[in-house]
Formats: sequence, structure tokens, C-alpha cells
Amino acid sequence: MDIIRNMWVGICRPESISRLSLSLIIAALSSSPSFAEDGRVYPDTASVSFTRAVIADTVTLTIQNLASDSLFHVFVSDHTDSQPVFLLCLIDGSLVDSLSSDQEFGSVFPGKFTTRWIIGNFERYAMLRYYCGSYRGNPVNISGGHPFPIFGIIPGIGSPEYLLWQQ
Amino acid sequence: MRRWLLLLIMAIPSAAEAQFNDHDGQLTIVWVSPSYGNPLDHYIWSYKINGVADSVTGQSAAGDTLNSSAILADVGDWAIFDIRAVSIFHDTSAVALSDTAYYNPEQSIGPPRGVNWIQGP
Repeated sequence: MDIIRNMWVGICRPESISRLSLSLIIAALSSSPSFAEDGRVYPDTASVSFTRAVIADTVTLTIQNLASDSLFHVFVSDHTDSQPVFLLCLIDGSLVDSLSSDQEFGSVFPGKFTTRWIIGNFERYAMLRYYCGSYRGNPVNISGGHPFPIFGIIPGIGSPEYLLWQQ
Repeated sequence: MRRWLLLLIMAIPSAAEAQFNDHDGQLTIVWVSPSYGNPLDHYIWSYKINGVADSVTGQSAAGDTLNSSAILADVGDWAIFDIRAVSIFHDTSAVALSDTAYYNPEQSIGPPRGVNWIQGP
């Protein structure tokens, strides 16, 4: 019991907390990227919003219908290094335990799993969350009808950053 | 610990200013490679000079993070640089835009010289 108490006291010392904080900051900076980004929707329409957020290799895609017409026959494709694990799907506020999906290996990108989830029809929004093992930048795309055909894509690579002019 | 945190904060690049005054018209811009995504293959970039899109265009290898291909000829000319990253799978990133660079030679003036007290009336 004393050993545990002494260990706890040691951890709680200010210098230990400082070291722990620094370790956590370094770990956070060096771990898998976390970010959110908007997709480009074609035709150029403001009635559909398409966003991807990635935290700890877990991807959350949100498709939002900003118009009064329903979105229908919507499906999502992603291309991942390993087989993704479906976590949950929310459609217009209702939780969906599973989605129809199919999967092919190497059909689009060599060495990558292409997975398609059928979201179907919805009025306001659909949110799909899955774990992709090791996130490496995957071009995600959506297709559907609104009632005209729509196509959305998020590129598989981030933009260059911190552009700075120099004298 | 405070010193470490200070160093860490200093190491984080700050947001760029909205306008950059270039003193000689010879533009140079640097950037940082994408922080996530598929492996980088190359960059495609262009300059818009005085509002004319694609005034100067080109490509850079993945290892290049500096470009100085554009020159502003006259004082008051301006330029915006845009760049995209292209992965080995041919994914093209969203465009990244620079601030506006103006050709604005630095003009300075020295202090008055030879100041001497003189006898007043």
C-alpha cells in the first residue's frame, strides 16, 4: 500500500506533472493527424455540405442537406489501407446500427481497400463514423441525387501550409 | 518547464500578415509540405500578377519548398501565389493561397544633421 501511495505522491509532484505535460504535448504533436475539412460538391451547389473530420484514425463524415428537397440514393466511398470498421451512422437523428456495404481490394488504388456504404435517402443530414486503422489520406467521395445528380470529393492529400513571402 | 513551453510556442509558425511589402520586386515564397495525406509526389503552382491569373506557372519537386520564379517590374505591382499538392496517387489537394505581395521599396529618411544651438534674439 505504501508503495502505491509513494508512487502516487511521486507522480503528483510538480516537476513530474511538468514532465508528463511535456510528454503529452509531444505525443499529441507526433500522433496521427486530427483535422476537419470540407469536400467539394459538383455541380457547384450550396445545397449540400460535405465534411470530414479525422481524430485518432477515426473518420466522421457529415453530409448535410441545406435545401428542402430530399437527398436520395446517397452512397459514400473511401479507400483505406486496412479494412475499415463501421462504428455508427446517424440519419436525420436516428441511429442506424448497420449499413449495406461492399468492399473491393485494389480495384481503385493499388494496395487499398475501397469500401462503399449505402446511406440511402434522408431529409436533413447523415453522419457516418468508422475507424480506418491507420489514416494516410484517403480521397473520400459521395454520390447521390438532389434531385439532380451530385458528386462530392475530399482529396487524399492536404494542402501546403504556412505560405510566407521572404525578402 | 516555462522555458520549454516558451520555446514550443515560438516554434509554432504564426499567422501570416495579409500584406507583404517586397523591397526589390524579386519575389520569394516558402511553404511547408502538407501535414497529412497520401505521400507527396510534386507541387503545382501559379502566380496571379496584377490580377492576371496564371501569369507564371510551374511545378516543383516534393523536396522543394521555395519558389522565386516571379518578378514584379514596377513599384505598386502585386502578386498572389497559389499552390496545390499532388500525391503519388494523383490526388490534388485544395488550393493554398498566399497573402498579397506588393512591390514597395522601403523608403527611409535619415535624421536632420548638423544641429547647433544659436543665439536667439
